[in-house]
Amino acid sequence: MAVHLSLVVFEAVVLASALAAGFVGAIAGLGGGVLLVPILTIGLGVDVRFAIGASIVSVIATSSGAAAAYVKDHLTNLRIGMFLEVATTSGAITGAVIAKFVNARVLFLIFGFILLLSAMPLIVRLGEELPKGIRNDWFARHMRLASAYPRPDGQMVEYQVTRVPLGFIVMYVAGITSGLLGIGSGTLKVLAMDTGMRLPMKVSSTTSNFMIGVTAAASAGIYLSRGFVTPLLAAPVALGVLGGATLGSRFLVGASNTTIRKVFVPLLIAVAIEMLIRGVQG
Amino acid sequence: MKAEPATPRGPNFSILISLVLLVGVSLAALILAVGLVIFFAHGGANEPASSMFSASPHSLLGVVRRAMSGTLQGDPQALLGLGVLVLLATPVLRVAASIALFLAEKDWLYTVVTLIVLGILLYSIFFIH
Repeated sequence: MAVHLSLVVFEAVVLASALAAGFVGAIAGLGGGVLLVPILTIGLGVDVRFAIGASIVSVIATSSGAAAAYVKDHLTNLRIGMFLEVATTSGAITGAVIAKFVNARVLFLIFGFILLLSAMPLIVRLGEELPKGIRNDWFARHMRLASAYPRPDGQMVEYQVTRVPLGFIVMYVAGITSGLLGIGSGTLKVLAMDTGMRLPMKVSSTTSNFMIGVTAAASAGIYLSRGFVTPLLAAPVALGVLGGATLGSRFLVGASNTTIRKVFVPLLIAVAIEMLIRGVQG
Repeated sequence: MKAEPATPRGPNFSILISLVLLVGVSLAALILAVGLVIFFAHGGANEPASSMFSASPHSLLGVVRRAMSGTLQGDPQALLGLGVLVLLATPVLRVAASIALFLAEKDWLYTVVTLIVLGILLYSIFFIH
């Protein structure tokens, strides 16, 4: 196991792994935590609680680093993000409180199945640039959620928002998984906005990245006070993820919705299978 | 129906939020990089990597105090802890900045929404262990 390596080699391996996880994470709208935890535990033999502690810190770095780029590009919908953060942060607290009473294996299994099921509509609609015929619902009108985003050629694309209560509930569940597992839960956040509220993929992906940092901050504080954030692990992880995320976000701004979806779907399935395996093996 | 901009009053709002995020993340990255270099320069590199894993629970204020005093005594691991704390503070400051900006917009609805988010966030960070 890599934890017996000398510290120099170990830190270098962690840095390289984090760089890769950050790059893929930023493109897919994930925090990178779901990629980092298996790398650190299965790949490098790190205790899962410390892996979660380091990954939740890196999730803040990814979100903040990538979000800074997207906000300037006017892809992120700040009102949708802020409104839904009420749900994700409440969920994070719920997750942290019930963490001591719930069997993690059962939860891994449940979420593995939910993610696999959720991949289906994404595969069927694969290639769709923009959801068609969406009408604002009551919440979207009163919370002023509809907006527009600029295409790479500068033209503004207007979009409306539907099924807001469904999105809000899925966001609450995303918060619970974040508090429980120490991940950013970017997968569920993108699903809530893309499949639930039918937002354009690029808006879902960037708004998710923007929200992940705040959700992760709620859980990171808890892991920090529990003593599971080791600076010598968190430092190379955060630095590597930051570098990877910066490269990934440059790539995203120029990419089409179809390309993002093609990266996101295989990743979603891989994460789902990983969760199922962990649920079965314990 | 006319679509509203995704960020209030166009570029000003989003540039300030980008700035909070960029400064926080850059400062944290700088502290972490410097801390790592100092750690290896002090010969910490010869230890096995497994030596770093031992949990010692503290309240968040205790974590802040230890990072501060350790850094002042020249402990590179405390400096790394300080970098982690700066990273943790960045999203909190981003939410706080959003409150000020929604207030300036006289957008009372989203001022309240953002205040709720900040309250939940601070409660979870300081009161749940």
